[in-house]
Amino acid sequence: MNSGFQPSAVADDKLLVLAFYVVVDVSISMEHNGGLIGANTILPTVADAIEASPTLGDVVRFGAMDFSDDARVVLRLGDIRDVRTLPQFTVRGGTSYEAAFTLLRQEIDRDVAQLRSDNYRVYRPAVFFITDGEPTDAPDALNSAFEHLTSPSFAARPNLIPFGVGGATKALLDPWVYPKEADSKKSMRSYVAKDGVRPEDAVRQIAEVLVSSVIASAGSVNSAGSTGGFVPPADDDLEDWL
Amino acid sequence: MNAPRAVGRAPVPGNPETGVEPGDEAPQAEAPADRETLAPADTDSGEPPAPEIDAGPGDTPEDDPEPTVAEQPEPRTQPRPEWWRHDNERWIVGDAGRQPEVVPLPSTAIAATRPDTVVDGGRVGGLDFRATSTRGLGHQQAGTPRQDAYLVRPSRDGRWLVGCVADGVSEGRRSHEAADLVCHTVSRVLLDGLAATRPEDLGDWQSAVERLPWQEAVDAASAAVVRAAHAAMQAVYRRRGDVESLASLEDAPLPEAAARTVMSSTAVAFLVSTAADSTGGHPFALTVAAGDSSALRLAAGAWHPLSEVKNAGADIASSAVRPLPRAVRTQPTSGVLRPGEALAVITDGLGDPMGAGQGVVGRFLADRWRTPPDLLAFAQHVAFYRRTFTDDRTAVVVWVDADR
Repeated sequence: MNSGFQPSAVADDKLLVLAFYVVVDVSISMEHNGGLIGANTILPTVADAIEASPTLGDVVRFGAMDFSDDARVVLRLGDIRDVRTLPQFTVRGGTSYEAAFTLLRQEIDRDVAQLRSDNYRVYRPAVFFITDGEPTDAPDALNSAFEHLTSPSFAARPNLIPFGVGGATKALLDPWVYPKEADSKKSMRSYVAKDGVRPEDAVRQIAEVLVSSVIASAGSVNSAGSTGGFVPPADDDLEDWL
Repeated sequence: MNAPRAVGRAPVPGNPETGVEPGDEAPQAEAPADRETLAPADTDSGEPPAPEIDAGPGDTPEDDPEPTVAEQPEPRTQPRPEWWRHDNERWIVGDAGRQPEVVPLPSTAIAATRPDTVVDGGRVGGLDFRATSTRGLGHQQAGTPRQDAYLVRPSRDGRWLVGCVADGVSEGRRSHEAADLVCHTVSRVLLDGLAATRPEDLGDWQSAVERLPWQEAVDAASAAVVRAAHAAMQAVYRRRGDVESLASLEDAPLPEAAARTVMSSTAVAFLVSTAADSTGGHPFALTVAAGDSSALRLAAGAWHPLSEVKNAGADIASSAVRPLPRAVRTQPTSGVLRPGEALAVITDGLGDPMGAGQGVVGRFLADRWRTPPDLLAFAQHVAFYRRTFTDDRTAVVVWVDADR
């Protein structure tokens, strides 16, 4: 029954997978303003949601990274149900977007190659990028890291959605949205917390929104639709955000 | 257990043969020839988890004192089966993931009366057909309606079997209505076109197919969906007392793009001659009018796609579609079904796990569908568990009897 395996049989046996990454700024200010407390609700919230839905866990793979002066993998992309102890985001130092983008490119490359060799049909990953302030990078190096991450020649270039709390402004975040309107009909956008909203609460809201987006995306890969994979957050769900 | 709810209701649109209550379904309705594929499920618990292995004794449905595996020879070291039945009677193909845990919720907010599953089938001339549309686990879990639809209609003179398969697009809350509407409209226009064609005018099949009103059928379907979307918007505005929006609706025709936000659907239309031609084959034709529903031919146990296979060769997958209503140029495909062959017209809920039919899902269905199965068994074949595939599934399969 298993003999006569052809290359196309392998292709036709593919299961689906949707990869999500959350990338958190762990600079000192994120600790001061409480943003990190909010960030540490993200993984448990996502894990609970995935545990509660039989079909979600089957399709979603989740990973987490942090960045300050450098960037590190906090949770390697995988099935969050397999993780016994969810890691915490802990404070380190500065704010290098460049380090985050470079690590993202490296990890997505590696993760997507692994998923494909495990015979998954891979959709474009989504990155929730959470920061509270200006990058400390040299502009040229930062731009080049972003271009490397979102280059059209990189098939798995992710949907990139920056969330800003504290000192982060729209003007600061908008350059790091991908795809932008000019790139695609399905453009993403950035979000900044409204004035007066505590960063901790704003980031807690990201956790909820992330779950809604994960659920909608999982539905979308399994349904005829025009969104095709990742479904960005619904603006209605982000009342404390602009 | 989920089984009785998962099977759902089987209403009988114009087909008395389907008047079987779900409770009457015989669990052992499979043909004896099928047994050989049901190798012991507990040979190993190595790679993919097989839920029936660790299911406790209390999980066995009371009305099924003999689990399928009990009829099998002693477990031996033989290849793990590629498909088997879960204790709840549903088929598993390869890997069920956590799908058996899904508890279906009825759709309450919208389309509360829409059946979870519909089944039809019968014999028309030299053809047997089976058709089913079943709500996916995603919609079952969310308590939202099945958005797929199909329609199969013999022509009045019995010479043709005409039909359509449609997949309502999830963004539109009323897309299940679009799917129904597209099926009805497309089938009606094609039947009218066939009724106006005298047999002697058919001549060469390929050119006959090109003269049939595919384009009119699809355009009429788009127009019908726009009208229905317009009416749905009017109803909402009226209920809200939104006079301004009501007035703006009357000012100009509703653009197709605006209609698509309310409801939209993919469509594949097909027709098959119920009589054999001089070579013993049955001419058929179809068109993929919009979206990613598809058609395949089953010949000598192998699947042959008749339309584009979604995501074939793509580096990164996408599930974007371009549904009706919109202006599309139809391109019919034609061919001849030989005795023993079958034509399958399916939505992407089945097409995605099946691909070009060369994998385990293709083998499973080819094995089950060597001959037309029992109607309810057919629905179960379509509703298999397979990890990550949770969409509605619809299939219309038309067989040409091998011996006729």
